[in-house]
Amino acid sequence: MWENILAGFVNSLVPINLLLMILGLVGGIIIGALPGLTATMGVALMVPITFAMDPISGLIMLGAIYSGAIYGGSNSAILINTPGTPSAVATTFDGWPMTKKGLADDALNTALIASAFGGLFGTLVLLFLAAPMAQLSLKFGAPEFFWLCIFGLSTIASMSQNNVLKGLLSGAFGLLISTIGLDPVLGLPRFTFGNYTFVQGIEVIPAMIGLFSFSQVIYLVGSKNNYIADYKAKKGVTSRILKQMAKTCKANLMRSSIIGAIVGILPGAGGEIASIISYNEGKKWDHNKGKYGTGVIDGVCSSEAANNATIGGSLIPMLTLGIPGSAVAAVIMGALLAQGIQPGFKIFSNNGELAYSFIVSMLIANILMVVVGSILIKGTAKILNVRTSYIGVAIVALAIIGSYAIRNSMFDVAIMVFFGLVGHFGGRIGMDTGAAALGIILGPIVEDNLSKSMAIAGAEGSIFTVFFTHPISLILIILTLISVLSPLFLGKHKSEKEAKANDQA
Amino acid sequence: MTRRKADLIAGIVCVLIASIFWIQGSKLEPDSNLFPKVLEICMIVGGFACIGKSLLSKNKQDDLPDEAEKLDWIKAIAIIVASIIYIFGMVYVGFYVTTLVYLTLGSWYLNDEDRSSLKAIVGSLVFGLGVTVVLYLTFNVFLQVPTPNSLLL
Repeated sequence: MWENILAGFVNSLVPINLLLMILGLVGGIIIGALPGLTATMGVALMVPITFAMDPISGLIMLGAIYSGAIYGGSNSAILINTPGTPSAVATTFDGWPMTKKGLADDALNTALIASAFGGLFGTLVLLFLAAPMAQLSLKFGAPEFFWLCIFGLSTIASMSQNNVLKGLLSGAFGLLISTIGLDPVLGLPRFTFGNYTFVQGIEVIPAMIGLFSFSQVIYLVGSKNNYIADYKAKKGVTSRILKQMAKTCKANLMRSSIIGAIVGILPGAGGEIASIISYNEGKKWDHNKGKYGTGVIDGVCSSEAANNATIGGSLIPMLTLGIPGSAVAAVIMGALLAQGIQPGFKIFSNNGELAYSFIVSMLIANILMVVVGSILIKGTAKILNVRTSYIGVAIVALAIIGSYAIRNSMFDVAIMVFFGLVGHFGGRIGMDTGAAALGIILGPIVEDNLSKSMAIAGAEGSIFTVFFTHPISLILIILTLISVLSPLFLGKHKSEKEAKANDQA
Repeated sequence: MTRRKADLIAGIVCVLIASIFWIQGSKLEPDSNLFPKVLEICMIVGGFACIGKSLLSKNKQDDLPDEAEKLDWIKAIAIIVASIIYIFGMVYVGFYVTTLVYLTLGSWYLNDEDRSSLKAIVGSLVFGLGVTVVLYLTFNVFLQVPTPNSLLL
């Protein structure tokens, strides 16, 4: 193993591979930052190019694109309140308020450092804990997945503390919207409203672009401000944020990275679920919960460390079991197969140098990402100095490309506009855009696993046994209850404390 | 908008949406309709709770926080209408040609500077042309991401 790791370092540090890594990171960050263009799309676009390369070089480049794209999603989430990838939804909760406060530099650098840390952690897990983690992933059946998503949805309760009822209603709306299309049980059309186009269902990305991006454009161009936020470039932000994070975010970074790596290994559960759960946990464990959502680095840190940690996690089942843990892992697996390399545990013995070179290159790519990202931040942050009249229309053009590119369908463009209007006007009556997005993202996974669990329960003759007796399910149920009930108890405790303080005064 | 009014509208909208889905799903197989039905019930109950909260609220003047910043509704409606025309336009004309027109006219109209000034007109034209070329090179030439195409480019 150590020989292969050493060979991995040697292969990764070859100048041509370092150059490919940098190009991959730059391309990935740009693709990730563009709403609608996902990490999967970025990696898939580059796969044919890698066929002409040496397999090790090709994989190094694909790994760098993957890491760059997942981090890149945070850039647009922070600067224009539009998550570039679904896994950056939770980054908007604090990233955008930071931009409005004139702290875009701080938010961008926090996202960069947290992403690199999460990415490094996930890769180290992949390097040293692949076998036991792969075993854990096999213990996750439909009931466990169902409870994991319910745990993710419980974030809504703490996310919308100002109005939990409207937060829950927004989440239910998102879940209900996700049921449009073919049902996962019988495969019959559902809620098509007499229009056959609805059979294809509501695609997550156009809906999200609409909810976050188009709704934001209406706000931006209608606002009295000529610029998104007051922004002046500051010097030495990266080192200052690094020091601040080392001082105050150590536990948050570790917790978020662990959550990301664990969620990443579960096939079907990706950065979006990891970042949402991690944000919720970050808030729960913080002494000052009220600061989350107001624009603090802790919120950005939770979300970004987790979503980049899923990368290493998602590659574990792909490399060890031949089961891709995410769509990107599936594309990378396709690239391996095309090169005649069969993923599975034997890859570490039959193609050890290649497997370890790929893993080690991801360690190096995450370190390089800090350098590449901090250079790119200087350019991307300048978007805040462009007038909203220009930014607004440019975002609409990008939103259309992003929505159309998913399925080459004008229906998705119409969906994007519809959800833009829902997001804007819903926001004006206090509905929660983030909660609705969570519902749309998690809805299909919840229903699919609920249906499978019900079928298992039908065969076993007991719903209780299937849903409430598996150890992992029980842990997730307890965590969900804590997540839902703790804001209520803590809120009550806080108001009692305040009342006591007022009485004493 | 006051919080009371917002709660009332939100409640009515939720009950309406859930009712529409309820009616649409009435002919579905029970297995297909299990999950949506649970959500519809939650939305109807929650919607009525919102309406009840609004009607029982004593504080009639409590504004929603974001209401402090008033929106220029003419500009907001202009961007919505222009975007819808833009989308229809690209179906019949082609993405890049309509994008050039949309970006140029959109940025010119939304600009707060004197619209009749040469600087504003040229600025918008340069912006529209520049962004369209960048979009074309990025998505059509380099990434080869499909865009809605029709008669023209």
